[in-house]
Amino acid sequence: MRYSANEVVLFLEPYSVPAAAAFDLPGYSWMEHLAERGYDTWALDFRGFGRSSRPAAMDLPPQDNRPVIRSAESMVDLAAAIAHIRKLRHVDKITLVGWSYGSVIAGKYAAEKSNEVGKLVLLGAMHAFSLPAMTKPFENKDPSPRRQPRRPSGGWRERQRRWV
Amino acid sequence: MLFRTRLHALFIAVVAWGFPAHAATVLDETTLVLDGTGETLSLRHRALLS
Repeated sequence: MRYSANEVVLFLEPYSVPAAAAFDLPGYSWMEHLAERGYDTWALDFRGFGRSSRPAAMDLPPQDNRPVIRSAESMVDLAAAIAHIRKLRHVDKITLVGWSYGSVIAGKYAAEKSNEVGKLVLLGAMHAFSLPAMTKPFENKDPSPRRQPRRPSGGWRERQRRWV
Repeated sequence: MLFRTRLHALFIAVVAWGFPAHAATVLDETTLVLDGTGETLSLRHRALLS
């Protein structure tokens, strides 16, 4: 099946929500809605999210590393996904739909590589803001154990094992 | 017999109204391997059944 550039849509997930849950939930699927109308729909899990692989640092306590997934890594992931889709569909441009964190990456990518993005949709777009409640515990420079944030007993794999 | 026929017609009409035909879409997933890092990306795809 051949698609025009306007009919190829790539969805980018919010932070910590897998693409399948964000865009393809049975009964509420945005991908299904568009696909039924003839669009070619894709959804990317950035590395560290959903069904994509986890960097090794994610198995360590959070205090041992700087934030693992940042926009630079997600931009690399998005570039790989777009290259794959463009090659497969023989289109120059695709449409990007970014939700929350996905909107940051989609907007950044569209600004840097406008020749690859035909249309841009930003949903619940993030903007510059400060959220000390999330970042302050990890910025504590006091080496005293009492002043350090509580260390979880292991990385996400161990926490997952406890729950499954 | 006529009643049964009309009942059947009504039943079919209700079913046809309540369950509009949806175009079948198909889901597949691709795994991309990133050069150098070995990290893998999951790419979900949904489109009309061709």
